[in-house]
Amino acid sequence: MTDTELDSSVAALRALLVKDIDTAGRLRGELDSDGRRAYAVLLGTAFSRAVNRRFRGHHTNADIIEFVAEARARYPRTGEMVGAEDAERVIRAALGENHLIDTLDWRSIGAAQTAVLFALVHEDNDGLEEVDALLAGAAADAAAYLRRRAGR
Amino acid sequence: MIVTDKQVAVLRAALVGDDETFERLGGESDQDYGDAFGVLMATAFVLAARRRFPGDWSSADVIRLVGQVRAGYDDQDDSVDPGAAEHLLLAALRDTPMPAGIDEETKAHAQFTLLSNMVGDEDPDSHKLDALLAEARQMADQWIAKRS
Repeated sequence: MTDTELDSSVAALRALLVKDIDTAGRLRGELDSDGRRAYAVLLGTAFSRAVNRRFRGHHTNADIIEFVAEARARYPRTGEMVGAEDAERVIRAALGENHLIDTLDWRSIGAAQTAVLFALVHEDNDGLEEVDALLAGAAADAAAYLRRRAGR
Repeated sequence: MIVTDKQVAVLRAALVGDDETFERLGGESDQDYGDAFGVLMATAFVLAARRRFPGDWSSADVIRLVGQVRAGYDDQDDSVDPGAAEHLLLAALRDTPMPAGIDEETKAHAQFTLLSNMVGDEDPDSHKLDALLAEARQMADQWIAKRS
């Protein structure tokens, strides 16, 4: 896995988060298998950062249920594709309850993380600076993870 | 009448949280929780959903209501299945068949929890609840008669 693959993933995820959906689709389509793996790792680290930023400290399951319901209501087309339970589970897993996603396949996890990440970023109308800051941190986390995995 | 007075009274007691009446009537040996009770609950659910969303509504309204009900429901071990709850409400509002593939227990639990919430604002002595249950009973009787 190279830095280029991670950079391409950042560009694809950034396009999605700034609502440039066509570019996001095109850039994701151009990723090869290593690039798709890098994208999945980056999505996970960005998701984890965004979830912890939003729910760190005290939170209840009711807070998560309400957040997910509001997000799915705001984006009903995505809401129909990503069920409430999957979205709640990936959030709670990022907050430490990892076992909750044991029974979810990777496709469902990725879809739920993508939808929740998008909703988190747009909940506070994050601007480009905030999106770039989130992705910079997430890319650093992803690079560290990929290096550890490669035994470097 | 196919739905009995007692079945209506049991459902009413359950909805207004009258545990004593619920226990007393529900515990009587001739109380039948069979088919007719399930149909009564389903028709009451449909009517309550249509009263809750009488005019323009969107799937976002349904998602929000289910989220609100689940967030207020404190029994984590027996939580309401959000997918089932949303499908049941949408079927009630769109007048389409209740969705297949949801087991009866999940469906009944979601229906009851949502129904309790939707009639929860009613005064327990309110005639509105009695009127809803009377209409639900009539619908249930018609539905059972047509089916048999």
